[in-house]
Amino acid sequence: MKIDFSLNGKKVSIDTLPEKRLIDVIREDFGLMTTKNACYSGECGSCIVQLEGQPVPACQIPVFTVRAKRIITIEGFMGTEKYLDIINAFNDMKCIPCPFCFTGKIMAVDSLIDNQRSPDTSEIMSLLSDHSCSCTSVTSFINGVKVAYQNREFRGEMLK
Amino acid sequence: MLETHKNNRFICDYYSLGMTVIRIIRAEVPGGTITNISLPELPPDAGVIGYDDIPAEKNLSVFNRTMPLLCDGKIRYEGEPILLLYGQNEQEIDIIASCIKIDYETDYTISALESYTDEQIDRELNFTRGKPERNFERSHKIVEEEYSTSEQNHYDLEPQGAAAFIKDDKSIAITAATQWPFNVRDNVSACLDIQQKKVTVDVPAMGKTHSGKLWYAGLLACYAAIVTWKTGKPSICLIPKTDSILYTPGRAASIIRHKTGLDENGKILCRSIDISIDSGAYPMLSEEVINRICFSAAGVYSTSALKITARSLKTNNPPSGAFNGMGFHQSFFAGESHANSLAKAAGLCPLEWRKLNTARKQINLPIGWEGKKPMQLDKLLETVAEMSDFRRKHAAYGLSAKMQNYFSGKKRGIGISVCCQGNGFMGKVEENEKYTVSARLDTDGSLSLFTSAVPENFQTSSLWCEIAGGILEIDPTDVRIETTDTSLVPDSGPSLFSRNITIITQLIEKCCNAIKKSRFRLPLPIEVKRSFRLPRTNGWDPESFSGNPFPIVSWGASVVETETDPITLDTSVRGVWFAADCGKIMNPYLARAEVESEIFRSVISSTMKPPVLKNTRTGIPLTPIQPETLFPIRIEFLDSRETKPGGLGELPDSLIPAALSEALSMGLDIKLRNLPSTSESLFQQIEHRTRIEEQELED
Repeated sequence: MKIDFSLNGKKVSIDTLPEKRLIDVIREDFGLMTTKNACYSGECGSCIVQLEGQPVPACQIPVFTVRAKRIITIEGFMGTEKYLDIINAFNDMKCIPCPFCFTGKIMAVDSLIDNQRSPDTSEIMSLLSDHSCSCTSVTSFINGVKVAYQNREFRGEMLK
Repeated sequence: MLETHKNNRFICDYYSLGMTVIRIIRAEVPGGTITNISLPELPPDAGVIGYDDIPAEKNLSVFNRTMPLLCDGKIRYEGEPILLLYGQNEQEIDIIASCIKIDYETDYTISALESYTDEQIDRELNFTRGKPERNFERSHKIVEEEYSTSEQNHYDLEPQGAAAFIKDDKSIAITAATQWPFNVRDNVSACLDIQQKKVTVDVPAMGKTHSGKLWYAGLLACYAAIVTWKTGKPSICLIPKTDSILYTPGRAASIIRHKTGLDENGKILCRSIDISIDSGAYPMLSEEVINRICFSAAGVYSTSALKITARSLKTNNPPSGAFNGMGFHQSFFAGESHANSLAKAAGLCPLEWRKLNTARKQINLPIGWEGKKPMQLDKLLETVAEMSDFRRKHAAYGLSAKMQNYFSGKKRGIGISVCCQGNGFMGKVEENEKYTVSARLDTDGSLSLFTSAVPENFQTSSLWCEIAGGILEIDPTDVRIETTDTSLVPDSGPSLFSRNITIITQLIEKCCNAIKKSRFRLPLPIEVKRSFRLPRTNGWDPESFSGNPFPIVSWGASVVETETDPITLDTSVRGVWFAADCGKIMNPYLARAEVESEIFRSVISSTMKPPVLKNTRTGIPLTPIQPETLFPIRIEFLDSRETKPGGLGELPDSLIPAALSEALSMGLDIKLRNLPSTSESLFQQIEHRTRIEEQELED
């Protein structure tokens, strides 16, 4: 089955089984290996990508459902100003996630802070509980997310 | 410094089209004999490898223990690898795997720790100090209890695995997610019967390991090496998450029985401790586990009369392995929970009872240390008690539990514990090991550190870069840690027991200081090498239980406060207070982050129910590793009298379970004696208490 969609801002087309998982398509067919996968059950959070701006576990998405939709993976997100908002905040707050869970966490964080409202601690904890890797300090993660929002807000102000 | 991680390749990222994929066909029964194996017709690029097809050494060797790489015909545990199925097409291989039929003549009884036979005993240690039997006779009170801990599985996110590639010169390159690259090299060289220099081992990026990748990667590396050696093509062996949870080595289950005699003042007169641990079908690390569990069984309390009997039992479970602490977790849970019962029997607050009984010097500890270093256990206990307002809360919650109607309001409780962390192996297993690190300052001013020690997490590698950068006054981002490829790096031994902090960090410091001295006198590049060998004298003698067990010991104390709904039994942690005396703190920020994440993990794993996943095997689920609600954590590091850095990552796992269990027990007026402390076990204990109360009323 031929499926067209937008991957990291580029229109792509793939001829594959419609039920193939999006994570396998991303990793195997497009070679974007920075997005990880661990559980194949949508529980670990390491395969999170943005589908129409919303964080989704790519292992739970059959590829036919993304037809004509926008997918952003960490590869497409890296290097953007939004990405730097988060990276700089995490560095400042000494939040050092391991590279396996990092990509999923950062995509989820971006979606959370992108809604123009300062996230509170319970929202961040709720986000964190969707990721099963316990590699980093919870407090530094919460602080990192809050500072990332401030960075984005500040940059927005500066742009105005 | 947080990198984008773009170039970090985990073992699962090594899979590419054209690689041979390996599937492990496992035993479906816990014991018996294979009578027949029926294979479907295999495509030309697929094949099967069994025990007899292994080219040379058929056993995996870890220290002085061995286990067969593949089942030799007699099955010893459910999930034991029988065959390796390999092929080019992953989907095709999975279909073929489902068509392989293995017939068994089953012959097993599910082994239980409570009822073992003499044949099951793999190793038994007996230690007696003083005359415990005589002291029991003159004890004012005797408290006897039994504690159990369940098996605990690793929950690393990235899969366990290994890949093998043939090089042009007929040597073999292995990429394995391992904490011990040189052990992988030695085993691959033995199973293929090729020289060690013909095997190079490269370590991919890894997440936090908790010692879960100590030796199992050697098994998977041998599988990949055998297939690649046979086919001449690169191969990869990745094990699925469920298999990883079910069949890779986890923390050994245990049953620990304590019997303690107290005098009129509540001081310990004598103790008798009986320990059984489940080493699984192949007790690969049981010697170390049994040594450590014996060492820590009596806790940090002085007693003149002590008897310990500990045995590791062979069962039809997968081999148990290394997990944080390797025995300390189990014994401190039992020992500290028992300490709370002793305090109750003595009519003392748990804090005061501990202060009355803790040893003041290492030599006063129950198991014969020769070290005379003073310890700050009282100060640790006071620190966490003051931080948490322990005395007031303990009195108030105790009174409240007695006075209130059981169903009126949420039940609060508070628990305290104290423990130690031994850094390094106890046994004689690494007597001949030598740990080496080399460093090279290049002409561009960058520094390369060469070590086969694999950092447990990214905090450790950041720390090494910071330390090296600080000594040589260069930017930490200009420091590279070369942990890959055994042909390039010196042997730095297995990376566990905080040796990255206690040994490797010191070697890095020594290398950098040596470079600093000759930096402006010698032309660049300057390369120096420093080694460490464990002292042969004053080492630990497990036969006589004497000597110095660890080069450095860290000490810790913790308080946990909980709140439980008496109807739904939903529990929340109101706070955790932690204090440690762990030598020189290299980076307080990273140390706090490490302790904090371990506290969260320990709280969750202490209350999480292991579901039955398959037949007789259970495993911790993948999901709830992160807390859903935040609870306050306060961490304090005491000014240490030890000038060297000690480990601290294992302390929360030894402290939290007992303190948490006591807090829950106090709130609900029950006594929890098993781990994990799930809502089911709370309910069972409430039922048990109700039955006793009803019985008393009838009487």
